[in-house]
Amino acid sequence: MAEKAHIPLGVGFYPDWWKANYGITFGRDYYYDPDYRVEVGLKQQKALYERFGDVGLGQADPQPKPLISFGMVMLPAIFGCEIVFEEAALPWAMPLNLSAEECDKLVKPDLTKVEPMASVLKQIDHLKSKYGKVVGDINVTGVQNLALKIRGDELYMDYYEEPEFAHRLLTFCSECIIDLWKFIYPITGTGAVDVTPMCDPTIFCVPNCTVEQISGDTYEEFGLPYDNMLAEACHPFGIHHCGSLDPVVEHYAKVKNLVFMEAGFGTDFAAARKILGPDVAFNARISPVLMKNGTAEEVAATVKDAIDQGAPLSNYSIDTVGLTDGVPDENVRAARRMAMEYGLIG
Amino acid sequence: MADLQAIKEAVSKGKRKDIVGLVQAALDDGADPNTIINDYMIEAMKEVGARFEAKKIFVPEMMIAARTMQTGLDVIKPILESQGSQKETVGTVVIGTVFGDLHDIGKNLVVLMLESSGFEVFNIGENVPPEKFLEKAKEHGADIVGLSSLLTTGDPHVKATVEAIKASDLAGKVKVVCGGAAVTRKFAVDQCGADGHATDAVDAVKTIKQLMNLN
Repeated sequence: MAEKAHIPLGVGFYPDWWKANYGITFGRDYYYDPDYRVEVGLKQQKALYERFGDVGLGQADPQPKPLISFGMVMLPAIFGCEIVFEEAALPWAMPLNLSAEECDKLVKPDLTKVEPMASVLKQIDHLKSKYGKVVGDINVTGVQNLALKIRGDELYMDYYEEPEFAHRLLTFCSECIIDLWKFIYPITGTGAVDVTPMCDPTIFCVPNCTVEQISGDTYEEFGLPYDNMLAEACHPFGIHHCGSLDPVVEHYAKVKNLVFMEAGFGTDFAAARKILGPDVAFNARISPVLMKNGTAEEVAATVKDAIDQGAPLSNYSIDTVGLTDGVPDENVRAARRMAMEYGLIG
Repeated sequence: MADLQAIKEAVSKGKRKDIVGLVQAALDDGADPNTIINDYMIEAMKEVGARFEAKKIFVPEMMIAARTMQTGLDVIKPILESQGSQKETVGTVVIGTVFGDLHDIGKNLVVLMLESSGFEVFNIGENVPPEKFLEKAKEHGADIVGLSSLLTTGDPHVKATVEAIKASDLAGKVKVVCGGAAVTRKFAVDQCGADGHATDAVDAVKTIKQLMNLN
């Protein structure tokens, strides 16, 4: 008898988990040395299989994955943000905190020449010559995310005090994001999967990590026009939203060509699905804090609740990412088993 | 007649461009500087905090309100200094994001809310190791040390910092409050031994006031 399909539940471990458990590090080398990155990918799949193969994670005999990656900091780096690389953390872009005048003087980069894109292009050549292909993980970041890296928190003051300037900056950021996507997608055939592993990688999915900080009305004025600009230029379109989707979901429903939405914990998943409709693939996130500090029973109950909220399950997934050192293995198993045993489709 | 209600409204609505003129006019009319601060600006920020907690407003609205208040305070401060007095402070807080974490916006919001509530705040930045928390707490004579941590990777550093403070000569003199998306009350208070836990910037002010018996 064929096994019944169940909703997928993804698991992603944070670099500190890999370093503490397997000595795998994610410093500057990981992003600049493609051979090291491919080797890490193989080690990760084997380690996951040995540890969590009973719940379907990892691969017994993984094949090399010629991955390019630059975290979520490619465009911030291009504009001059200092990038902090740590062995046990994701790279982080320090905000530039430019003045409005300095922002207005920014020009769109030549992606074939500017660093660190030029280094990534060399890596692509290397991987293609060795493996015949490359898969992509150049995260374009979201519009407001990028604007905040360039302007700093002052962007939020601009929304009230200098709205015309804010719109200029957001337009500029949108154009740069579109340019990067149109440049890299033909090379790799995929978008970034590091932030949104449950999203179909052929979809243009942007991380709107900072939209959680603004109201629905503010998103309507300073977010929606730019997400639509992206969605019209590059589609089908998807959005990753950190935190609760509830304050903005009605506004996200107006985004054109939207086929994927990822919602953080705290979201009313059932209400969000109802507003967005069953044709928008939906990924519900489980809190990494719960995964670390909760019991296996609490994790299972939370996953069960997310499944109960998610109908129709055919276009629904769950994941829990950013799992840090100290997350009990039994919590990972509890989450996976609940999806496999309770989240049956059909 | 000084329009003190207009000052309150300007802070509440984040009218940063109006506040200087309004405060200056009030001072010219003889309004007491500390009355402007305590009865109108801080009251306005309490209302802002309540709206933030109720999710009626979000980060930009809270930031612009707090910065409006700070702009107004910049007008008042020289007056107080010329009178030989200073802005009344209710306590001193040293605050930072723990080692290994570079996130700042949540912590910066706490700073703004504390300053807007009459605290003197020393923001020691991000990626702060335990020994720097200790050093700065001693240097500034802190009543409270605030730790911010967005990621669960920060848990060991929250614990190490709390333990370092509790094991130092600051124990019993300085209270430690932890907050941030990754930090639960159970972890901060029960497991690390912190004195308090805050769920957001508004709760941080309430918690710190409770710990200092200011409510």
